[in-house]
Amino acid sequence: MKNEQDWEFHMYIRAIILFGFMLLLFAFIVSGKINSYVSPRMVPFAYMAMIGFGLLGAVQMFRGTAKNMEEEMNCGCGIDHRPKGSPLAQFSLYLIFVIPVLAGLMIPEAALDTSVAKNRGVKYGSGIYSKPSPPKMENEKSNAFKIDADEYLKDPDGYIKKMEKNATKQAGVDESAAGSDDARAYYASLVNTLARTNKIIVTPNNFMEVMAAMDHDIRPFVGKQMEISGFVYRESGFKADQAVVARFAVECCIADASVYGVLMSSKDMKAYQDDAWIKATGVITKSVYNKHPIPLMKVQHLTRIKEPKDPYVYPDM
Amino acid sequence: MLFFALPQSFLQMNTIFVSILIEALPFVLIGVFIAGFIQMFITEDMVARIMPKNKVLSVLFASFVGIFFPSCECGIVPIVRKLAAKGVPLHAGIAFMLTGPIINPVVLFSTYVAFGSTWEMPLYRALGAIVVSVFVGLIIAFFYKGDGLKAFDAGHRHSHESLSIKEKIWETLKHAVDEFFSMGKYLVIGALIAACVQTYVKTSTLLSIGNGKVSSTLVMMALAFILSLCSEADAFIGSSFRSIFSTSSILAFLVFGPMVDIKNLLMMLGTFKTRFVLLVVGSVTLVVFLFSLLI
Repeated sequence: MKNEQDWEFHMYIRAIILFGFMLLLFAFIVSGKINSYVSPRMVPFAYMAMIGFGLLGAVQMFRGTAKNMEEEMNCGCGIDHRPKGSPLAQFSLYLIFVIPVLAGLMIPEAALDTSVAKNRGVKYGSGIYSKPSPPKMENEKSNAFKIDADEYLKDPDGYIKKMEKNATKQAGVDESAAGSDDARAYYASLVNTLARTNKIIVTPNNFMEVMAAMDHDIRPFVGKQMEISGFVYRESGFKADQAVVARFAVECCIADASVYGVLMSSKDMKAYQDDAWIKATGVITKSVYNKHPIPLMKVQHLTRIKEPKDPYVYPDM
Repeated sequence: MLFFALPQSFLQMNTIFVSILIEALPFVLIGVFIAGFIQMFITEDMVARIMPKNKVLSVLFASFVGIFFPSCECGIVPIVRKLAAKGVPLHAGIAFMLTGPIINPVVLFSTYVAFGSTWEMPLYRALGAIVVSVFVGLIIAFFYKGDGLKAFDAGHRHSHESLSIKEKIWETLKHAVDEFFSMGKYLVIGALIAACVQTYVKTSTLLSIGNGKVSSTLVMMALAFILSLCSEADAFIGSSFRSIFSTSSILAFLVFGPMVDIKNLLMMLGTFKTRFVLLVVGSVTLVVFLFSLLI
């Protein structure tokens, strides 16, 4: 009888844990907090998982009822299905499952900030996100400017050499690739559309597109006004009046978030700490980061803003 | 307010941890449902009929089956475990496990998008996955003696043929629950470790180590292991390294990550014998490394 009670206990605690996961997902979805964890295109999967956990929880609950217990105890396969191990081992097993539920429900979520950005390195301009292929890296006229500032600061010459070496390899790939014509056409039209306006307003929706377009060709953007918001990010080699206005871009979940931003300069920059959210309006100029052209925004107007409810931007597929 | 005392970095670590889980759980659930389905509806006879007897053919067959199953690396381990219990030979099961998360349409398409809508990278990636799985499958087929599975599942072969469809569905769900509890713990621990590493280790330093062809390939493989990204998202991260790393080392990142990373290593250790896992991980590492150097 003792065993039977034990087994029943396991049945119920497992049911509770499954319902716990369902509740966690339900709470995230209802409160909108789900957006702090995964990108919108993963949300349907969260719904699906919520239903799945509910179903499994109900199954498990039903297994624990007396009628079914008998069947569970002798399912006839000659295998003991009961959890093995000492009470302590069993306790820690369930603890492992309880931790994420409690961690999700009780510990407040934190938006990624500059400490994470420093760990990951920032991409100035687009670089990463490429619906069509980014332009060739090697020649000046294509104006690619993905830069890992950390690495650059450590060893400028070595870094540039590596950039050039890789770029040459990359060029080979790009030229042979079938889709690259489409890609170029896509970028050209993107650049055209954006460059037609005199003031480019960067919103969370077009953030990645603008970054990609400036990455493709900076020239049409030079002299344009731009309005952009994001958090302040600095690296150790920056001048006192320089900072990056940056956003995290999330593909699936925030574990894969990467940082994108535009370098800007303003005499008021000192007043803004790292991680402060700002809206900046200014004129795009072309700056050169050791042979690699990058956009530099000369800020005309700088204001502090509240951190947006959804701090991330999402590249759309 | 207890949590005001917690440092910001801890809160971020926790957020990344929960985020990895929220993203992975739906796919793990799909995995355990399929595992339960296999348990109840697939018989050893069926497996024997479909699976080629010849070792080489069965490895080849299993390497390509994954094209039809959109799965990711955390959902596939419980499936392989059930398949093995149904009499699928270990070399075929492992070949399926290695290619499944890479060569399915969803992952290949996201790789296509991430690499500028070109087919070269997804094709190399699929080729790499198949080459690795064939080699590793054959190594297991000819050099590994033993069943490789941890004891608890090896003898667990019910006879369910007598049950009605309704009963089978009920049993499928029950097995899915049990499977979730035996696999889920590794996922949780793996996600926790990955979140810690992402928060407290400066991965950009890692990048500055990789200068030569050999070291950059090793760095990218280490990065794939540490980041433990879902195979549907890793292409976007991989493509962001194009400016500083060679194509071949990014290929290594894309092929190695879905095969071996922190969370699925723990899941494998929970399913297979430790020595067997070491053999699989060791040979995968070696073959991925050599393959990417040749490309």
